[in-house]
Amino acid sequence: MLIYLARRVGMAVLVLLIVLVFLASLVHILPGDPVSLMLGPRADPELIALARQEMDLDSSVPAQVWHFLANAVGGDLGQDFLTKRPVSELIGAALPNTLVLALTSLLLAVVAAIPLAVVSAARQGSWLDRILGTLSVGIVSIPSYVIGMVLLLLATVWLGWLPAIGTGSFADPLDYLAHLVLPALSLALVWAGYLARLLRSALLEVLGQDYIRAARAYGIAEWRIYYQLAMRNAIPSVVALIGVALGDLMGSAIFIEVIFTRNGLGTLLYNAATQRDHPTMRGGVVVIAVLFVLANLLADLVNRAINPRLREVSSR
Amino acid sequence: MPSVPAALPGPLLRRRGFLAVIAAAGGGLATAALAGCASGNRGPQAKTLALRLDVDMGNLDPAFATGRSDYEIMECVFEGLKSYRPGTSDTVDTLVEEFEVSPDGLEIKFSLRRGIPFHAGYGEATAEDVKYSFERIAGITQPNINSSYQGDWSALEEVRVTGPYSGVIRLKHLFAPLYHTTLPLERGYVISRRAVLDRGTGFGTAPVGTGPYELVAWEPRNQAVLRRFADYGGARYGYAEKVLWDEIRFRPVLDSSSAAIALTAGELDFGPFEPLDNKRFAGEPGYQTLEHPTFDYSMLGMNVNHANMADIRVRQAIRSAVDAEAILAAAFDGAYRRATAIIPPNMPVGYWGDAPVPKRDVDGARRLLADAGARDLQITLTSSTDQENPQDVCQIVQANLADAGLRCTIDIQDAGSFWTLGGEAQAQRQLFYCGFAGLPDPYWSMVWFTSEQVSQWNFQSYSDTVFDSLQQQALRSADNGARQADYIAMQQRWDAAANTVWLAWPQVLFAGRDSIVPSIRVDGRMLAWNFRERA
Amino acid sequence: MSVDLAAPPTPRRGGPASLQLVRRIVATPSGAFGFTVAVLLVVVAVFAPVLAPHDYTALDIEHRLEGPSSTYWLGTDNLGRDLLSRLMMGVRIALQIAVPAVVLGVLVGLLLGLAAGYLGGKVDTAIVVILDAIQSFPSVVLALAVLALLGSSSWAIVLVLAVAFVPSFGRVTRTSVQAVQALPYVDAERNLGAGTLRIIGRHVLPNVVPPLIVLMAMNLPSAIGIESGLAFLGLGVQPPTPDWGVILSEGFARIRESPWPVLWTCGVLAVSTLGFTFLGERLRDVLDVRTTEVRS
Repeated sequence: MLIYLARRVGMAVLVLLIVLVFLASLVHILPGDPVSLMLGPRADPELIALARQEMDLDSSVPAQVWHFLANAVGGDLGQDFLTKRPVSELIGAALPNTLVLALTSLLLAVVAAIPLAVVSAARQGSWLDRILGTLSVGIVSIPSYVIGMVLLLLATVWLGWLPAIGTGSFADPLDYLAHLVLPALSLALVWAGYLARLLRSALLEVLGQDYIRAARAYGIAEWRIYYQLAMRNAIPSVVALIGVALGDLMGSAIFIEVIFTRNGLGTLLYNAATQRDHPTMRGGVVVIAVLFVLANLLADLVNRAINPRLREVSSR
Repeated sequence: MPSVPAALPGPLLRRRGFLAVIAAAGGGLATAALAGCASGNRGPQAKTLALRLDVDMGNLDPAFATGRSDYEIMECVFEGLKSYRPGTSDTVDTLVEEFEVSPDGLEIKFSLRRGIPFHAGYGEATAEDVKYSFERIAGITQPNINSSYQGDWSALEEVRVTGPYSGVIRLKHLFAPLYHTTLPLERGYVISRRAVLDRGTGFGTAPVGTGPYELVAWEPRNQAVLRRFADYGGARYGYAEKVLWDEIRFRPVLDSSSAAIALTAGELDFGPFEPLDNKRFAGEPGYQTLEHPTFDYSMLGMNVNHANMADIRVRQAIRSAVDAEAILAAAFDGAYRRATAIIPPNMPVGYWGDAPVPKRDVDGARRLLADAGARDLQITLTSSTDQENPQDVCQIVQANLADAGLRCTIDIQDAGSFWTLGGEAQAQRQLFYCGFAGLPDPYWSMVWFTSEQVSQWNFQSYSDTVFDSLQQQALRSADNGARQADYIAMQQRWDAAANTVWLAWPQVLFAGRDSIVPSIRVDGRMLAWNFRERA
Repeated sequence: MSVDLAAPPTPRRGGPASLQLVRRIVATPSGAFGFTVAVLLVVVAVFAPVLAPHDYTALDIEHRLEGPSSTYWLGTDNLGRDLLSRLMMGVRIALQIAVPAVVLGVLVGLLLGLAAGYLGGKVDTAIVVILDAIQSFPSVVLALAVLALLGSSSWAIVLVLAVAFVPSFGRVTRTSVQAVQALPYVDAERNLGAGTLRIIGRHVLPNVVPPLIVLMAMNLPSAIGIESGLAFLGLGVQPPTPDWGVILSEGFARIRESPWPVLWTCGVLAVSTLGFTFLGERLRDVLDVRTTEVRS
């Protein structure tokens, strides 16, 4: 177990390093100069030189990565180039909203996926099963911002039920929830279908086993069989996906946050990107990488823990 | 096939236990996230107001202030002899108790209120400070600092001090804008002479005035923080209530949509926005939007010195072909009034109500072009990225002109290139789209279009000696009626020269939390010190 | 993942193999839908200027932000341009970026997969680790970072998207190579002196092509979605080019005045992504490719 843990953590660190190296070397390899993009073509050379120094662009790639890591360990992720505020402060203010959004979406997706999967598995092969199947596969491929905009149109512009902008404040939980519904739904819909599909396959596999037949013979109610027995053994296969789901949600959250004008890591990254603010971009990308890697790690460990039958696969 | 007996409590419990742990962890994480987002940048006791600036701050020294961001901060820090009463175009006494203009208008006797302290322990405001403040900008005090606002005080002969709190402002000639723009605006602020001598060029980032707030933090591109001045002399309390806020933060946020997000996040309370971002807040519960006119104007200009624009028929054709209504509707989203001349209706003097409103006449344009033999003319339309929606404006103009048979290429330059002054740059200009800011006196709108400004800011190369002399005449007049006639005459001549297509008189569009009661100056600047809160 | 390495396909009756393939694809409703959408999009992309009812740059301010009418079948945008014509040109732009991105991804992925499979050992491990790292990392975030650094030129977008797709193609190729290498008759061929290239050509490629094709069809909607998303954020293709993302962005800003730009653009995006996904799914069934791979 410890060896496995060490290996997974090692992988995680490697992913982070690759991301950092990639960002740092990009500037060197490909044409295009981030500083002149940021300051404009008429910036005077002194300013450019100062900017390059501030952003550590003149050091070699390994040196840049090392400087960044050394500072990051101490909590210093650099300074936003435009406003000089510490990047960690900006991220600290923005992150909670994004986390809440991602987790809520995931929760909604799982909660929706379970009954969908059960219905599909129970009525395997029926028209309902096939339609649900098609829909699930289909909706996954539609970009989440498309769904987000349609929901915005429906619920806000036409029906006026829900607010369109902002996050609301944590001080007023109901208000916060009202602002959370549409964004979370937009993200959840995509994953609900996909998770339902996966859960269905896992369920079907489990349902074919002896002990289920035994349970039926014992007279245990159908709903118990599905929701308690079969689900227990089917969930692990889905848990493994949670890490991937969170990663995808982080990416899609950028669009959803922009569409719903929510203050979060996504909009922070978006603003930094449009203003070519390199330090904030780098800090944001790294934080997302860390979160994503942690989520995968956690999902993996949880999966192994709750499903001792899981054999280690060297490459998924 | 691995078989796990269903009825065994052991493994199931373990798994169930684990699932419970996961759920708890998830809940804990969510709660931590919720708790993690604390109140942010407000202390529980201090009343803070956070306002957006849409341009970066530059210099708070009245002699060198760079633009509207600086003005809005300065309004809280400095005071002048007179000010604009909030929300009106009337001026009221601020630092003065008595203010008497001589019959010939060349002498102004004033006496200051007593006991008005400067910030940072620089003592009382005296007539010596008034003398220093005005003569310094006028270039009378040596060494001449070459203030950007020297023109505002060009008529100043001297300020004679007659007592510790009294003096006489002596003018060389009548100067109408003195009462509308010089005294009540930034150029007329009274600063501490000792503080300027102490701080030198540092005065611009560590200003000392008599206003209700003092600057405590200056972070370029991030924020300027003002704190309530405990010993405020109360010069404004004759026409305004006691100030409400303990702290005011001005935040430059250059991108309008980032600013919109900051507003929803609670990092901003109020500020100006572009039309589209402003619209998102209209009707949203918890927010308010507000429009306020300005003295600004935007236009399509034609450089008459360029070969392509030299023929007046070509210029008239362009004026007939351009669909200003369409530009207002599509490029400015219907947010601005259509301009018919340079002076807007809210200007106290000079508005030409009978100005002709060009109706789009494509056939007329074609005929004019045919007469001028300009059928195959290829012209260039330039604009700058710092203008309002240049893409859409230029595309519409291009399409409009194409209807009349005129081919036009669009060149949207970066601000540095577009605003390059001088003969060489001027020689390139043909048709251009841009806007200028205005002030509460028409003098400042017209001044850029006189003959001496050709090859400077007079991009149209408009040179008319009658226009120039009317400008001087109206400047030195105290008679509003006469000035009105002069300015209308100038605009009529301008119209006849057909070198400009007037587009819009832009408004400032504000958005903010609806608990704020804003206070806006006549020229559209926020009077932060006078913002209130709804009960 | 297992690839069916059964005996070479027996000739079937009923016409040339490609027509047979098409017949099988359109046999199911989803397959038919997917195939129709794909064909339609390609046709529109190629013939857009001819098919479009209006000039997509022609302004008509008087009729801006109107709904469907007899002149403008889908309505107009904020400058009065015909939405239908702009959306049609948008197909061309979307495919102009998405297709090269996917193709580039396939080529690089193929190379990497072959390298990993053949060279084995440290190279293999290194490649697998890198591919794993890129695989499920949110590609949008990566794209954002790259475009912010380098500016938004078309080829930068293509490059970034391609990078996002390389892992899935690489993995598939690698597994194919490994499976082929394990086959006894391939081993025998090698002992007889057959070069690596020959083995690649005769055995690996025929077996790796079907899953790659399926994967291409599945990744295309991703490419279109991300590319339009980036344009929507202002980081991809720039206005006034009628990229779907640009139309969406302009429409979104004025969503309260007219829902039509947003509605129609969402519609074409949904239909395109659905279409290619269904096509991919059906192709997977038809080409008999089994995979438990999680699509990126």
